[in-house]
Amino acid sequence: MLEASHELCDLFPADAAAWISETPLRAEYARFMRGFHRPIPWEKSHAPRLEPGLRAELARIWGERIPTEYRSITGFSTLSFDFIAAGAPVDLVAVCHRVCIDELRHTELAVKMVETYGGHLPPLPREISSMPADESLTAVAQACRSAILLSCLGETFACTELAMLRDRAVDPVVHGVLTVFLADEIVHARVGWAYLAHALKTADERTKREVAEAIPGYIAGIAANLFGTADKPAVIDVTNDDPRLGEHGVCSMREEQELYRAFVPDVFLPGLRAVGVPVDTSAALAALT
Amino acid sequence: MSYQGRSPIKDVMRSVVLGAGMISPALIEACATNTPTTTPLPPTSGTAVASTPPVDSAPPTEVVRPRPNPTGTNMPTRGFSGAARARG
Repeated sequence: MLEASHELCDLFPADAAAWISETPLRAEYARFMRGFHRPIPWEKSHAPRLEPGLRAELARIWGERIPTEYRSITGFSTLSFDFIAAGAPVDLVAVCHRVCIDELRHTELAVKMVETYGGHLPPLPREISSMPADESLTAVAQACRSAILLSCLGETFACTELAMLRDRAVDPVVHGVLTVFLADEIVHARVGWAYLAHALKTADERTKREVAEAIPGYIAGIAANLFGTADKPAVIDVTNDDPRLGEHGVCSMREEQELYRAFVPDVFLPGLRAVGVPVDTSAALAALT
Repeated sequence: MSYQGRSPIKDVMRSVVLGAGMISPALIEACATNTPTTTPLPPTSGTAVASTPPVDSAPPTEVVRPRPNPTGTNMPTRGFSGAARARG
């Protein structure tokens, strides 16, 4: 039985994606981490043949992803509270909690990638993400705003960027890891759009207006987080201008900016208008500059 | 470095926004030019996302976001029996 279990781990390395688990609940945790994803061919990593400088940069980049993935658990936990307060359908509440498990899986994968590239692991963060909240809003308006910020904007753009990065990744391990990320992020993005479509069918004009008002600020806020501003660099930078890193799931800051500037008018804003958010296009596009 | 592959924009629009938001291609095309001329698709049993409930099940929008319990009672309930006793 034990031997069979080891064979299973060999065939499906994702089963063992519980590298940071420390307690007797490891078996339950490992099942969550496994999910429904295809195995990742860890043994086929190109890392050993990379020159040390590239390997170190990839370790740095994946190391930056560890706290961000882990911290995003608290953002989606907050969204689940907003959903419950707003009387959202229970399936959306459930998916919201699945997202938290997914973010732990991404944390685990980022840990494994750092180890693959020979880097040092950062400690897991303990701070709790504070989502923008306005006590004057109705529960529905607040839930819509939270869904837009986290899911319709943040996670949907993540899908767009991951699709680009995965498309050109040559290293099979990077391709496999980005495939897991992308498959999960699609669900994370869909939960927000599904909630908006649900809630705005019956929302009054005031609610729609209150939701729409926040959008330019969200566009600018995500851009500042990703790219920094003139007087304040991005807190976390997972980009690099070296074209060799494109084969390993990394793009340049300029590419990321260009993608965001295409994503907002071509995906985000039309999607919002289609589900009934009366977004001010001029203000939204001005937030991109 | 410049990306030469397929644009992910259309894939994301199709696989994320249209499906989850129950939006027709015609509507999203109209909304891309900021002039929506049709209304969102009503949910149907054949094409709707499974997680989408009937149209009239959204809560009234005058419901405000709940505040912390004003009574100061902050002990957790203990599952079914605890919750049942609390109600009694």
